[in-house]
Amino acid sequence: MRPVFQYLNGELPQAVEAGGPASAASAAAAAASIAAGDAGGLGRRVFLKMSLASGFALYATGAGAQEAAGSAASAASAAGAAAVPEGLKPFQQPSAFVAIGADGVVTVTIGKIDFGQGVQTALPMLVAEEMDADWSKVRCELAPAGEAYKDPFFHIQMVGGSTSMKASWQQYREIGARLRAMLVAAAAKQLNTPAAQLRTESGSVVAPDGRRLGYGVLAQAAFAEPVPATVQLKEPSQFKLIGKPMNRLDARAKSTGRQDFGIDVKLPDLRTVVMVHPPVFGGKVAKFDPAAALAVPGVEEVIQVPLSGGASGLAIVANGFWPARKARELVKVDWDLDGLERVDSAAQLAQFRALAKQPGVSVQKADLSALGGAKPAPGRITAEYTFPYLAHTPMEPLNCTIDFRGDRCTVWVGSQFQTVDQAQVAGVLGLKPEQVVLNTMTAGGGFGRRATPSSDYLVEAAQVAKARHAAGKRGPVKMIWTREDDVRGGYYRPTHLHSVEIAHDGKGGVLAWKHVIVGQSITMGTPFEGFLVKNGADGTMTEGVAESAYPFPIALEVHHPKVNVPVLWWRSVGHTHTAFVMETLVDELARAGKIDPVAYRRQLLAKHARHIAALDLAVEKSGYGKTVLPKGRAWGVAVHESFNTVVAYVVEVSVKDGRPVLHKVTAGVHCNLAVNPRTIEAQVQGALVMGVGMTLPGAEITLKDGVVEQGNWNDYRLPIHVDAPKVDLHIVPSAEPPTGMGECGVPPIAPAMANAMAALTGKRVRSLPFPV
Amino acid sequence: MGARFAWDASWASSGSSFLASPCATACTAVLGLAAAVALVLFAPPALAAEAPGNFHPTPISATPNRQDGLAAFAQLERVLRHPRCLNCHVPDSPLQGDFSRLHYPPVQRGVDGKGVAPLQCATCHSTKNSPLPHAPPGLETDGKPGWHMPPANMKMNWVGLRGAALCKVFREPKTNGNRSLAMLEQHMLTDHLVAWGWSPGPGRALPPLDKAAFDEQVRTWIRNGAPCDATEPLRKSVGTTKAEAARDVADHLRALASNDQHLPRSQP
Amino acid sequence: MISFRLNGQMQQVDVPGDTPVLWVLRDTLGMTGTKFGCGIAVCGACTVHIDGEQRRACVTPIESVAGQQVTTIEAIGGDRIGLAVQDAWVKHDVVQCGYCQSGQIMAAVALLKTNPKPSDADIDAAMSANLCRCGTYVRIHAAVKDAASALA
Repeated sequence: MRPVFQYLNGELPQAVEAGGPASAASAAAAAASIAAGDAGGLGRRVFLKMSLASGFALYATGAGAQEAAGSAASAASAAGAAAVPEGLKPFQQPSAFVAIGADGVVTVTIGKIDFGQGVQTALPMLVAEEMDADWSKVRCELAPAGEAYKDPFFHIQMVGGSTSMKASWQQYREIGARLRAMLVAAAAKQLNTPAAQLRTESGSVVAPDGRRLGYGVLAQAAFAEPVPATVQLKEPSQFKLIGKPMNRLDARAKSTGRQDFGIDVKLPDLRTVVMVHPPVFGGKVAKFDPAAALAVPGVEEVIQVPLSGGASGLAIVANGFWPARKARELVKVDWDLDGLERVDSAAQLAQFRALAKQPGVSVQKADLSALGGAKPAPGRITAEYTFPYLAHTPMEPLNCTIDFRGDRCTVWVGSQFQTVDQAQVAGVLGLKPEQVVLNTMTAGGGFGRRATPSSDYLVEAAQVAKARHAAGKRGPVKMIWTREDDVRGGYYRPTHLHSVEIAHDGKGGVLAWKHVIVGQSITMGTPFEGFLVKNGADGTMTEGVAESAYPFPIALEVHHPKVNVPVLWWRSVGHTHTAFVMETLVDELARAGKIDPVAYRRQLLAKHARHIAALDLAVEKSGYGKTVLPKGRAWGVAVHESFNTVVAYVVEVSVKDGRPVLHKVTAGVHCNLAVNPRTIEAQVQGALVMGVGMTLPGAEITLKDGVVEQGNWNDYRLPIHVDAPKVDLHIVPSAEPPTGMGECGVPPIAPAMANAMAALTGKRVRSLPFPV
Repeated sequence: MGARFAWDASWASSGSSFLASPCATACTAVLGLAAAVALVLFAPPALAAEAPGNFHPTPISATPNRQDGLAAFAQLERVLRHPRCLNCHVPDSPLQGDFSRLHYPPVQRGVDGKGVAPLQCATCHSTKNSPLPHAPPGLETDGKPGWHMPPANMKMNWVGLRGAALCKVFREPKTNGNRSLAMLEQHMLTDHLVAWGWSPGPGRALPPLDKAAFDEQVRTWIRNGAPCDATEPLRKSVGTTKAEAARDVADHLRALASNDQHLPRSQP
Repeated sequence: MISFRLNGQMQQVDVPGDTPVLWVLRDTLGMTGTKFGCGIAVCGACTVHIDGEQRRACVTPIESVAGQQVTTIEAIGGDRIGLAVQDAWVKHDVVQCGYCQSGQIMAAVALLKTNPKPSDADIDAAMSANLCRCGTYVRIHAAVKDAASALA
């Protein structure tokens, strides 16, 4: 059944895709837990269904999980034969993913949101390849929340963990292959020729005598054919599209102002809502005076609504954004902030330091005797690293449009978490998930912020819709968070402290390594806890240290303080800080042992072929060790695996007025098979700019007396055009099933820069942003 | 060229010999054009926005008191050194905010003080302040966005200066935009870009004196001979106002055009 | 009532005079190609041209453009420079999420109108006031240079 994801004339579609746990019991449970303020409104049972049997963990890093993931995929796609599923699941049905018009236009509907990563080109490439579509006639649309669009590994519709291509590689190719078989079967009848004699080519089925039937002509008959269970996928040597650099399907629309985002939704009778949030997380409205706000022409009402976590705020409803925004400056609110923890960044650092000195939760044990008193080791490194809260601030402000009709509702939102969001909105409105049509809008950036286990801003919008409906008001509401709401709204990459003590032999040999990490847990208290927290340690904090490819004897302990600041995954999550610590320490150990930092890494990573391949490629193409750099410029190197992909950077840096100038980055990437090199290039260029951003002054969220000190991009600084270096990207050729590119370009850039600065100045950088 | 057209009393002393020169007639057109150009180039930037030509400058007192003058300057310099003024009286790029940080996004002064195309001041600074905190301030000049800095050839920079050094930059025509004391007073008291400092929009600190008090300190300083230090001679004249200076130019041009041998209006 | 020319057509809107051009475009006229990113003119997503010069629509009151020509991303392709820039954007596959790109393109067009042969430093200076969270700056830079040479 073709999903309908827009409606006109004010009519809601009648048929709704089943989504989420399709039972009244679980919907009731979801509603109950929302009412209790529990972010896990989706219900634990759905998340327990997430199977680890495939070895495909959300944040799998390191050899074990990568091999398991690789073998699961390759078992299914071993040359020539596909795995035979017992009865096709919804996510395997071509009709849910592909529509072919009479004009031959092939519209691929993908279950993944595109917020810039390029899946709206790369996933259709998979389908188009296997069905031999005419690429010039391929279009892409984003699927609404729906059963067929749930990720086959995670059993919810989501984008995160750099898993879209990994999870879709098999799935979408099979869809294409099944559809090809159906097109051929239909053509066989019409051409009166056995199917085995027919071939497909660029949107047509071709008979041996040259007769051709276009897919547009065959479409109706093809979709009436039985869907084959088994399919034969192409060999990489047969690929015509996959592996080629293909421009984005939405490039022209986005360059001419014709691409609609969630914030651009236009509906009859629409109201715009601007929120008033408490200044301290968890605050509640004690009393408010809307008189001055209501006097602004265009403002309709100011209502109090509950927010997540027991907080409350106000919603200003108007006939457009500007009146509501002006009115916000005029509303008078008294806040009840009693009993709330009021976080102060300076005090917090002292607390973290104190915690680090106490025994924590043990993640890895190792022999620390070389750090003991008896015989001091030849070399010792004692280092404390600090990292601030980081806000995502995607370019498109967070927004959500809801049309609630009492017994059903439609949502338009750029969601990375459709199943979760649909269920939580349903819970607020007293609906079953299948009574909520959730349309996935193209979003202006995500970086993890649009995948919030608590569905925070959607729940706010739903509360507004619910309150208005209860008061007899009708019509859709579009809630837009201002940039200030976003910068101050929490869900940050947590602040961390690393305390490291290393004993080494002065020749590059590590004798003992004591490592303590302090930081809030992202997943405790969410449905992801069972999946990612083991024995009290959150894997999203330790990734990059705990499963490091380096054979260091690391004894790792963690502390997860509870802090009144909501936190969330931020592009590359734990690797945002662990890679900085590891790659700068590795550099320091190399220099202490008077070993070249590249040679040192090659020794240590000898068993990791993908690391060596990525590193060697970057080194070779950069001229490292061969080219003589201009005076005042130094090389910096870092290599790090995250989300199953290895990225190596060799950078050229100089220092001017105490600040690094990043001239050039040569990148070596091992992501297994490169589906679309253009996507990969964009992701690497963009991710490394984001990583450079982490080093710049102003790239931090700080709190004073519970209030976030920053408010907009004037004081929370992003990297700008002049901060971007020249980038020379090289991809290691591979035919193995692809691994992810969403996040892996972020972690290695800051340590590579810090290593170059250390070479120039002799000073080690121990914090992000770089100290001024 | 600046010294030749400076609107102070020394012009008159050179006038007669100039007009008696043989090339007076032949030079008329060139001089007329040059004078017109000079008026445009060397007029204070906010010429159009100041009060019309009926400003009555405070004259120097017959009994000026140096200490009173110095005390007045010590007060008015607190305003000059406040971010609302200082942020644009800088050597290079403008500063921003109550902590006088480097302006963000990065911008340049440009030749005319209005930015380097295509990123001009008017790109972001519109015709009025916004009600939103941290939005760029704005003001209107003749219906158009009027925000700007001093031009590159007259930066009026006083970063890091105080006391006598600041006072001299502020007072001397070659660093203050070719202003006589009368013109300087008119600028301080009536210019709308100066006045903006007291209506800067939400979230910006006000200068340490209110506008009326500031105006009074300016007058007191001028009245007492506009002293900058303990020893230099007190000023004896406030010079011409802009309106007077403009009338002087017009008179000269008329005299040249009619090949009239009349002497200029102000004579020794 | 405030009258102005929008992409060559006369428009009349009945809104308070302090309403920013951005919200007149988006909410009153339904022209959503010009984007809201920050509301305080630091990101450039709202860039339009007023009488041929680039302006940030989020802080420009509609009353200040009475009688003037407002040009937006939806129409800039009708301009020789605008079309060259858009073609270069597509050729270099500049966009990722695309949300900043209307503003980037309007800024790039403004640059090439005033400086047809910008150096790398000129491009850096002119384009560093337009934010891109996806980090497409490398390709923006290449596309601006390419458009300049295509126009030469």
